[in-house]
Amino acid sequence: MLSFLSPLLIWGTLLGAIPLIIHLLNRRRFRRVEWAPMRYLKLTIQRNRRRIEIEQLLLLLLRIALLVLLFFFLARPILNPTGLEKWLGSGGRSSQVVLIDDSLSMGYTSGEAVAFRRAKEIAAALFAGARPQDRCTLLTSSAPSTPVLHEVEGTRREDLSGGVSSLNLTATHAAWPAVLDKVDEVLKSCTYPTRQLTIITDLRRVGWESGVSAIAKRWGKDEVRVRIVDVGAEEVANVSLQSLTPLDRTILAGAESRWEALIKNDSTRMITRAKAVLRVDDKPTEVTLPEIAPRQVARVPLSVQFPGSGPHDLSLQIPEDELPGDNQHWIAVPVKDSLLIRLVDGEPSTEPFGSEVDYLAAPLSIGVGAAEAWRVEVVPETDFLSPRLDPADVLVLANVAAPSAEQAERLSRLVSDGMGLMVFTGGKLDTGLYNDLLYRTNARLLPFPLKGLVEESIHGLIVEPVRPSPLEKLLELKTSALERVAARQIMAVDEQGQEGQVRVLARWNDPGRSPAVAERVVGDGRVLLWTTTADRAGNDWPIEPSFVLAVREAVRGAARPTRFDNNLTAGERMRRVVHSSQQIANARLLPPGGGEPQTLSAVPLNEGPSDQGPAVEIKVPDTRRAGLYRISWDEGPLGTQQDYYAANPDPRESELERIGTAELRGMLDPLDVEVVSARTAGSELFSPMGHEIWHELALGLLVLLIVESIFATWVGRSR
Amino acid sequence: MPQPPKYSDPDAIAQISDLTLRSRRLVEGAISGQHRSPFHGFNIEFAEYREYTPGDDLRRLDWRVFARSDRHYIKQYEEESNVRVTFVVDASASMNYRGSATLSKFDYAATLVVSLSMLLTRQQDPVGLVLFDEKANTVLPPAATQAQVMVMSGLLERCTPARKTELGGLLRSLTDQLRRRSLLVIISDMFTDLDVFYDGLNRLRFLGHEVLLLQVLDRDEVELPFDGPTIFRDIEGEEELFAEPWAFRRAYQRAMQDFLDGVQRECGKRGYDHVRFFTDQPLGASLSVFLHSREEIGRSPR
Repeated sequence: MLSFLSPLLIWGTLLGAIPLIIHLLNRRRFRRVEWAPMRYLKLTIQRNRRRIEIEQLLLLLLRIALLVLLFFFLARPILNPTGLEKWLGSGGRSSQVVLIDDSLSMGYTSGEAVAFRRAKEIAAALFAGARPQDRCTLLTSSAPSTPVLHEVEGTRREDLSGGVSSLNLTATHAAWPAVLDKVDEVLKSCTYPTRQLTIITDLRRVGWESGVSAIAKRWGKDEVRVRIVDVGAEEVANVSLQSLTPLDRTILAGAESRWEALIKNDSTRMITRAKAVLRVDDKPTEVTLPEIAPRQVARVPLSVQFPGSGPHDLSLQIPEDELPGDNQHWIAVPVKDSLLIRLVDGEPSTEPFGSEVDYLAAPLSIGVGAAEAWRVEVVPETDFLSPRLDPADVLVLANVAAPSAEQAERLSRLVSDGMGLMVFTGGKLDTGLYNDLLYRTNARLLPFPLKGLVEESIHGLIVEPVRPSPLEKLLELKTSALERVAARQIMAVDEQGQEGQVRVLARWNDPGRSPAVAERVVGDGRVLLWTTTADRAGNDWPIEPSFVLAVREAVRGAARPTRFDNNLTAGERMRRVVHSSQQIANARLLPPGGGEPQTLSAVPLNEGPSDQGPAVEIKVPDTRRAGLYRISWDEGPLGTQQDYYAANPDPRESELERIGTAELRGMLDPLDVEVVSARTAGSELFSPMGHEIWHELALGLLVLLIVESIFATWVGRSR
Repeated sequence: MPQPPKYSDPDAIAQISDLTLRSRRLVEGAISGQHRSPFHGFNIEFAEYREYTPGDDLRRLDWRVFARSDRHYIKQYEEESNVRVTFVVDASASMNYRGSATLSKFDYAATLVVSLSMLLTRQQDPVGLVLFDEKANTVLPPAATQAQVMVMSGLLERCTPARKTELGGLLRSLTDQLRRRSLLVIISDMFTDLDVFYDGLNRLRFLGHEVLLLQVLDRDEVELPFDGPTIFRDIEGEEELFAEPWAFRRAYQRAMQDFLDGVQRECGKRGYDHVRFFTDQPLGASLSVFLHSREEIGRSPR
């Protein structure tokens, strides 16, 4: 493909006929001589005719080539043109809007060229070619409503090129309907009625949705000229870290926490013996990845121990590939030192192990690993939800007769917010009230409605093979350990007509396979119903080792979950609300990848009176980069406080399937969109408008000039 | 006052007035002149002694030698004779060429003829003229009078060179007409069929005639000085040729030099002199050089 920046000058190549015309005219402007030694003249010409003809032809061709090449050179030809040359400088004054896709996928490296760098080069070239009367606007897909440059005059070249060079790749996702909607607002604010929008993108299918049609129709009506410059590589291979998620509900200081990384091999190569780097608070550990076949997803289990409570950061980095942006994930982890377990004793006793809570407190008296893990608090049933008490991570109702209506209401809220609730049934328990208060329509806490105590001799417990489950550890026990469990009295439940997220985790080995432990997920919290007592009144399980394991695991599995609210996708709003009666000052941000700390503004929030004191909002203005954001602030005499936030790459950007031009045009119908390609292969020198070959032509012209001179002298010498 | 002949060049005549044109061979003249005769007798120059043999004329016995040496020697004398000179002048169309010089080749040749004729008649040598193109179109028998020169000049003035050069055929016909040994002065540009010409020379040599070839050329014909595109039209025909002379000038000059060298070599082989004249050279000087060189050769030991 060949095109010209000054196409009119190509007509000048017709002047290549000049040497031919001169040659022909010369043949007409001859002298006539009456010649005597004709014989010798003829003889000489005959002997030299072929040489003379070849020489003259070569000379003629050289001179024609010289002129043709000269005008070819002046017409500024470009190889593999993108068509941008025609885009520049046509028509009257116009508003030139350039939208650069700075989403994560634009970081894909094909050969030696990164798509985003190509996009910047093209944008720079477009602005360099802008006419003085044009107004130029530069937008990015990550922040389309905040122009990098807005209505800058075409004469301000330095500002334009500075604006382009200041752009950085982000880890955001380009959702084109939303992006173009924002661009539309910018277009409306443009000065000139002639508006030209150039979108420079890699044309990945993800993000192009039918929502763009409405905008396209609007632009079609408003005669907005739209061009899409495709800088995306056609053949792609990508290995991405899709996610890094905790498997445990709570992350405790000093205790091992289980994590799982999801790695997708979207390439044609087999990944073997690759090493990933796991960092806890920037301390790296090498992790050997399993073999991952092409087009396969691997789940990699990880075990992490955080040294203390408070905010921590965790990251996993897999080997870098063509798209490095999705090879790393960061997690901001708020680590607790222990869980507060509040045991409500429905049948207190002063005798050792006379109360049910004694059997519950015993398994929780030993920590987990080096962690203290549990703080057990026993309260009477009268005031177990007092606001004076610290919010419990797990509330255990052990044979409690019945909560009041108010308590039930409060319980419902607390469980929805994440608190774990475990109910052990018993003789004191009022099934009617429980059903009324804790199994209400729209506010069900119990997994099933209770039917009443059933006297029955049961031997054995069956753990349901459901995963993940708070009791899944019991599956690892020998069958005999559970077969020994004997029950004499259980609470019958009505399994029929269950609603919501309910499942049975363990069953009694009775003919009806009655549920032994059932779970309901309510909001962020979980409710575990045990259909027996926590003491030996109705069963012997509390004295079995499996009970110890079951209680410990159930507490961990039902406890208020560690909140990962500080983990966002790049580009999402990041704000820290600090409730404090102290003066909040000197809010700072240490952005991802280090760099200079940035000052943040702390804005008081007009919230109603709160127990936690006045609220101040610290907002991070730009979260488009992936990584760890460390926010710190001074809080009066409490000193400097800090919190971590993690912004992760949008996993949708790892999907590199391309959208076809025809499909794209169809989506943008009736807008007449020009789609041009500005891709390069390998290490070929990239030019935004194709490969301009003036320097090769200039060299050729020089060589031709020298050759012509030498040849003309050689031919013209007397022979 | 009578008009001087057109082809009379006083400067040239003045330059050669005290020179002579001698035959390099023995000539059979009827009257004594400047040239050696094959006949020995009582005439002017002593030639050699030879021993008497019976039958010799006793009048030629050298008695003084007999008195001194008692031997009989016959005294031999070399008779000097006049020579019949016939100018064979090329009057073909090619002689009409005139380049940058003031004279055409024919004008130059005619002036040459008149100047030499005046010199020869002064030596008592009869001169004749043959003007030819494809054949002899004018033949004037030799005579040693001043009037002959005037007649020749008139013939040359009236001649309009035309048609092709057929020198070889002419020489063959001339050998039949020349009864006595003569000196043939051929004045031509030699743009003719050289093989036939050399045959003619062979016949003349066989019959004992002396030939002096004066080749008259225009400098252009040798150097081809034209630059731009040129149509060369055959001066003796209809053929035309378009060419750009700069492209092959040197090659042409080499071809011409080969031609000139060939003519000179062939004449030399037959013992004939070949002298080249260019029309841009002053005739007097050229003739003077030529005659001097010929005298030098004449004085060299035989």
